[in-house]
Amino acid sequence: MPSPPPPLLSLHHVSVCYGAVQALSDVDLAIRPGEIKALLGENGAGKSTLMNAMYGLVEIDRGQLVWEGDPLHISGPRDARRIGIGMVHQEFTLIDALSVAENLGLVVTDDRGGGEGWLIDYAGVRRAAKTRASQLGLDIGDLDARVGGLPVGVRQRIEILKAMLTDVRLLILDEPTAVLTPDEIEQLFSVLRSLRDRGVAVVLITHKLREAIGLADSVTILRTGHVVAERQPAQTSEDELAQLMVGRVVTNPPTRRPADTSYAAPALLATGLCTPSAAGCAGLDNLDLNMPAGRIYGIAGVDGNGQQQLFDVLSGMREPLHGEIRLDGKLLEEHTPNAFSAAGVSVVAPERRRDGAVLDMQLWENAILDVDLLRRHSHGWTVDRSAAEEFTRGLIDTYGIVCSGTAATAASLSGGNLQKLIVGRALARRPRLLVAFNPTRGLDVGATGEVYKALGEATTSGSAVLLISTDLEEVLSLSDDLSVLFHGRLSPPSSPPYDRARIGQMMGGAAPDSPRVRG
Amino acid sequence: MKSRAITSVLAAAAGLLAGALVILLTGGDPIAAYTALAYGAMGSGYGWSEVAVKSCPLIVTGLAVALAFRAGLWNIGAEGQLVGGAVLAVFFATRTPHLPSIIGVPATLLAAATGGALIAGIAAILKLERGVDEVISTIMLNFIVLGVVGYLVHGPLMESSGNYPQSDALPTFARLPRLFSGYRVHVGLAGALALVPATAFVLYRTRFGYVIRATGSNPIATKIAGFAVDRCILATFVASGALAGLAGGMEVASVTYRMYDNFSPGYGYTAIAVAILGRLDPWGVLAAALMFGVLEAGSASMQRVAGVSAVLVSLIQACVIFALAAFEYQRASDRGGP
Amino acid sequence: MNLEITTALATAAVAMAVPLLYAALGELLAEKAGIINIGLEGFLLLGAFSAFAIAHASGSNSAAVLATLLLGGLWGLCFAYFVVTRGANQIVVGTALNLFAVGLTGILYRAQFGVTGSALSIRPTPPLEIPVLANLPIVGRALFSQTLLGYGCMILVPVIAFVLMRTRTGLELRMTGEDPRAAAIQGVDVRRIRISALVVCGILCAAGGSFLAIDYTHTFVEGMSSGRGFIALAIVIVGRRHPYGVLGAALFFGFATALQFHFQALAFDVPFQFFLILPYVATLVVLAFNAGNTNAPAALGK
Repeated sequence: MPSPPPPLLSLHHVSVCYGAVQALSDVDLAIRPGEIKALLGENGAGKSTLMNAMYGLVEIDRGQLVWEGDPLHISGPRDARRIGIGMVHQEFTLIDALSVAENLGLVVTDDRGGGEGWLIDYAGVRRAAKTRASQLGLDIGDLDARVGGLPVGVRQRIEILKAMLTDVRLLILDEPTAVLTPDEIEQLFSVLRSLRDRGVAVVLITHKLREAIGLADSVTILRTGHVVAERQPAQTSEDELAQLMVGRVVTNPPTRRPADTSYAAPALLATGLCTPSAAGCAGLDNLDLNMPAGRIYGIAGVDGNGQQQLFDVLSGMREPLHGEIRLDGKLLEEHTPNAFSAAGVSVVAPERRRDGAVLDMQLWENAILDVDLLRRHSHGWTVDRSAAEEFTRGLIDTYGIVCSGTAATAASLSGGNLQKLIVGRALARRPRLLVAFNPTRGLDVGATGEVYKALGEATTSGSAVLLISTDLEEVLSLSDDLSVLFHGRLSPPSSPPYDRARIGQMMGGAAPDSPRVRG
Repeated sequence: MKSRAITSVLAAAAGLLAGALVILLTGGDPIAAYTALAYGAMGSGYGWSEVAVKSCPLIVTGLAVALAFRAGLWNIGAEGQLVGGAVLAVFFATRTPHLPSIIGVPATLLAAATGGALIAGIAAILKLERGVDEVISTIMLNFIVLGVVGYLVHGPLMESSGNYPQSDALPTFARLPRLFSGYRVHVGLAGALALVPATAFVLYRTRFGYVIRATGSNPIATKIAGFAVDRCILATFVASGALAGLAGGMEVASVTYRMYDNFSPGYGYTAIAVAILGRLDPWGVLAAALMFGVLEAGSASMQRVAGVSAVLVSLIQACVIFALAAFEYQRASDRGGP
Repeated sequence: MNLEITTALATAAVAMAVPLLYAALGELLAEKAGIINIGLEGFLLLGAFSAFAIAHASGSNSAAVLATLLLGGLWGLCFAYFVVTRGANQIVVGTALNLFAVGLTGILYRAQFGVTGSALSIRPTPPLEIPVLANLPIVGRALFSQTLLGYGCMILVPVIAFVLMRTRTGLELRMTGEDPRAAAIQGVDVRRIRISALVVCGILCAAGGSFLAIDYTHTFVEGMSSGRGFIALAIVIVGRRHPYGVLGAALFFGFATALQFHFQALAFDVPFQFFLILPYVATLVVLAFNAGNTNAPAALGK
């Protein structure tokens, strides 16, 4: 068997710490040209840090990078690009208020003529962009359009184009498929394969086992900052990769209670919801939703099909252009979180640090961050601190929240523990409707399991739980009823056992052909 | 909390040091200047009384600003709210037939608070209905109020004798009585001092205060949690304006007795420095206001005895803020204040 | 209105507009970088004083202007230190700056010149006339018979427009104000851009202050910036944060301020305070009717 080509980029004993946290320890890694390597790991494994170290966004504390045999010092992204390393970030780095051409302007000017030019030749930028885009088979549309108004898929493609404007020898992609439809994912994969065939080294950061096996030539598994294994896809399985990723046998999510098939009065009846589409996300398009109490209703779909709008409308944060929402038959007239909360709606927002907690305040104050809970723990006008602290202790015990006490600031909690507090709080007021949007995003397996358990328990006390999630596995394993959200519309609900292939197609836009039979 | 107090004290010291440096630079004697200042403010009963007089508006306006900032509301308009309150108080008192003091004084102060609240209310409505940033709107309102006052004291509100561009004197039933004869310190001081623990109680122990603090720290999360954030902001803005107006009313009812151009020597802006130095905490505000009150009270003496211009006090106040900014590294994304 | 009064009005309007325009352009650049500077008032005052003091001491107006521009860059740098390097709150530091300027200029003025009843004056700079154009009716004297500082701000407007839209620095500046995180990932040195923008803001305000002291009033009076720094804030907003919009707004407000002194030219009797508060009211009106559409950079103030 011919020996593999020498590595393009290798890392030797690389360690990175952020203050007291050891993000990477003693990492050895070799990336070869003409190879697609998947970097697999769950959240907190160190994938982002590793990727940032390769791109010059983070300083290495110990160890060395070697590029084609020579030691490498990258001081920043510009350096990295000059050497031939390109990166496509998970969070887009496009600037909404500027046009596509302006977003590409800096990169194009950098990459030609030494990057010292002070004038930007926009005509040249447009030419270069169009040429490269057609070379790579990327359709990016009008170059003078304001980026903020473009759909997500187009922005993804512009990001990729931006990364590949020059001859890139190493391309890093960070969770690129989060916002793509299955078709777009296949398109992306074929682009990556053709790059690989041309000798480019591709590094794919992911936590999706299927992608790692389906696309990569080699898989490196990271866990808590260490490299724990290397595998060839042909010689491993999803189960083994999952085990390596989490370090223990993966327990299945708790088995679903048998679905209640008797007719249940709808807890939530939403009809004809419409919102305008904005900034690359589809708006709601005459959306109907009929949810019974005591069940988990899952909404699957690729991010950008209206999930945020649906969440915003059902939480009261946004008033729909048209449409009605009835909770237990009563029409919700005022569309504010205040009114919805009073009607019995509780939410778990997707960005916990930004939307779910007041980080400066203490835990007991965060535990009662809810109109109803605050009132329950007050004497008239004053807040009853001891009652609130007792309540908080209850949450801490029930959900196993790791913290230094009720007076600890919310900022001191890790993501998982903070999320447990938030979910516990949402359930503590026994809402009629709980709307949870990506409730386990960024959580490790342990915390995820706790949240799943809590959601299940909510239904037993009669709450209707709406689970909006861009994680298909999560929706498939938790839901009693499932719909797919595509371009602002919901498919008619299905019941388990779910046809994965069918659901995947609906996520990509295939219309459901025959009416499903509930059963 | 403790380390914040220490930083504030250090910042105050740094401000005084900066002032000393400038005195030196202009050929003066800093020791002599500060001694004169200290004696002027604290060396006699009259001095202490003046400290009280100067601190009083700073305490109340400082509380007004701190309360607003605490809710994430950048009320730079305390100056206009203060003057607006004073104007309404004068309007009310000079146009009302005689009332017994027991009613006259509170009524006048109420008019003042209302004046301030109305002006703040304009900015509040602009913010809530039209999304107008309150920094700009309150600054604009400051100047609008000043312009209107200028017009009023040259016209409709001008004194009956028509000699000077000032209003009639406030009738005695509306005036805040002095505490001791011969000294200017007045009953309002007791009111100002009482407002401090009252504000602290509201901020830290009540539900309203809880919502204020949560809104100031993270308005989105607080809104999603179901709280009526808009109502809280409106209420806080109006309360802040009312306090500032009250301060204006107290000032006109106890010290100046008349309304005229340049009624306020910038209390509303100094109050911002007071609120920051006091770390937006009511007791901190009290300490900061007293310190600035000492500076203001002693500045006349400093000018007279040591020949150092009283305007040095503004410089010291500014340097205190700069020192605080230099000592504290705040997250660049934290526009919400300390 | 006869020709003489109109010409006088036009000349006064432009003269009033110049310092406003300088300060507003400086603020425009700062805001494009994401920073709101409410200390413009202080910058203008410091500029006016230093220009006056140096001109009085040296007898040379040009030396005074040059030195003041340098100083302007310096206090722009100081503001940048607190706001960018230390991450302090922009509103608070801006307020402190205004207090500082009042204090410092007051002290230095009285120390140097004593508390005088009459204002000291300096020799005015003769205007540079552009042949032919200076003889145009009404606008000739206003636009084409100006000092260098006056011409400077007129030239600056198209220059700044060009820099913002066509150069790399301009693009980096706008990126910084819209999304500093994304800009940084692209390799833009966000700190350097912000500091540079503030230094330029300082220089421009210094130019405005110099014009105020040397070319317009030929003297210094304590507190002579009298709210211009805040009007400049208003101009940036009313001008929709675009160089030509700012120019228009500055001229408009300069005109309104000039009307104050020429109000006898009007047929109706309006208290002069009306013109005094016109810019502020206009700003509120513009803001009220442009809800959410002010063209403000997304990361302004953050």
